[in-house]
Amino acid sequence: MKIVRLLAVFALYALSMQILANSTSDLGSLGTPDIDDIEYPDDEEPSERELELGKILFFDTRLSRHQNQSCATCHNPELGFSDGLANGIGSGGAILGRNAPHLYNLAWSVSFFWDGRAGSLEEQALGPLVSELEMQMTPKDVVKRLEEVKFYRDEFTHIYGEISFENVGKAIAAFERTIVSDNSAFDQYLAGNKSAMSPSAIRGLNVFVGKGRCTKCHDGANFTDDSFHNIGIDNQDDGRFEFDKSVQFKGAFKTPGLRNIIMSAPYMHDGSLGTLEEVVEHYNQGAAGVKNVSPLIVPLNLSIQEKADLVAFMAALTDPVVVQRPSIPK
Amino acid sequence: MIKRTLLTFGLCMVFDVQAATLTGELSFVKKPPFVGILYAKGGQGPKAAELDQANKVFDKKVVIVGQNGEITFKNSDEFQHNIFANDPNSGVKFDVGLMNQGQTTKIAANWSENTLTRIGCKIHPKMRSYIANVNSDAYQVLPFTKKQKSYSIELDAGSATTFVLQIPKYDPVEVTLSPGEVKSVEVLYKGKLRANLSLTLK
Repeated sequence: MKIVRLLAVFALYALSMQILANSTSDLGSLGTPDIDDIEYPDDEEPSERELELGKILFFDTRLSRHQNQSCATCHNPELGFSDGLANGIGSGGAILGRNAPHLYNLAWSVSFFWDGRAGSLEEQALGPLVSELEMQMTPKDVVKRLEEVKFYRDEFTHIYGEISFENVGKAIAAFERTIVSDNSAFDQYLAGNKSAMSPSAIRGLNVFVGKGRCTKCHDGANFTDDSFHNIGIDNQDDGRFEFDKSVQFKGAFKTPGLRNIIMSAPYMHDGSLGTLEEVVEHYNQGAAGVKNVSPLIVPLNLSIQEKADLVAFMAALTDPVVVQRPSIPK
Repeated sequence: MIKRTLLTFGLCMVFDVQAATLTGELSFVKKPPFVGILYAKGGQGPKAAELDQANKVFDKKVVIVGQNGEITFKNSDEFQHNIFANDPNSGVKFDVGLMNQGQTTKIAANWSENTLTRIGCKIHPKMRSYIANVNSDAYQVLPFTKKQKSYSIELDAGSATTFVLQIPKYDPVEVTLSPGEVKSVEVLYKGKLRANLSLTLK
């Protein structure tokens, strides 16, 4: 009897080891982002001075009409570069139409905003400034406000030759490219530290690349295909379709990267899901019956354990980026 | 016997003249860009070319086709793709529409010769490749990687003496060489030095 019990324990141990051993296989393109793969505008890395200017602009409320909001209001470093709200709030108090996305590892991205309407980080950085609902400025207002400050006059002249709206975008984008998260438990696990991730997170990784079908969209070093999918959140928002009338883009939104995702709740383009558990359950259900839903979204039949493991794996993608808030020039 | 020897010698001489080889090196001063193509001026270029897609990437960084040649796009991926071009530098625009797994579609490269056109996928914006529309029968594709700064050039140049290096967004470089001549030129991007190209025609 004792021998049988011992054999059973051994068999269970061997099985669990098999599961863990499988964890590093077939990860597809998942990996740790490579700084060398960042493509800078004109292949020129920014100077320290440009980065500091961009950082100060990012936190300066002068860039909003009522001087009550900066980029960091909706993309707050302490809230996972998001704002903790389902939908953001504009400088004039208007409720915005979509959830504020996080800013982690956008240096590797090629399209921006939930609908991908900006083709560069420079273009994206300027969008909210002149949005009628968000910061409610005009390019002229922005330049005028900055010209009143000696620090900005000096820095823009030194770095770019002049203050211009376009150069404001360059500086903010340069800073945003430094928001890099690449040393999570998952990255340490990939680097060979097999105890960096919990057994639950390792099982979650297997579900992530396998039964969970997550890598159909959340692939690559930043866990995004930079593509647009209708994932079955039915809220009458056409998403990408507004800019490209191809039928597959009806209700489709950009796949967000998942690094530090546990820090930027709530989730989805409308902020309608409050927790990662709800997100996993949404995909588990498969959005059956939702019009125009992507064929990639199908019921998953995940067990309670598998769902918990998936969340544990996403938590293992956490590597916070600490940003010291700068003094804003008078 | 003497006739045969002379004929053989003559053929060897002809072969020797036509079998010029271009060698050299392209060395970047910073991180290299995505891809380049070096080609000899003259010729027709390939009449047909093929580009496939799998795992959300194109199987070639650049596909070479002569003017009015035909390009076949394939989709071997499990994902849908939609290849398009809207390149302001070459002026080329097209959209082949949605392609499911296993589907192929063809387009005619009926635009200006000696152009480099960026193509992508509307569904997967990170996918990129280029169509080099060149009238040349001797070319070398240079698929750069970020970690490697120097690349060897070795091209069976035939009787060509003028060569062009094209890199997307960079200023094109044209070099004319006499047999035995060695030349070094600067490769510029918006007027800034990005690489040095040394070529020898043997």
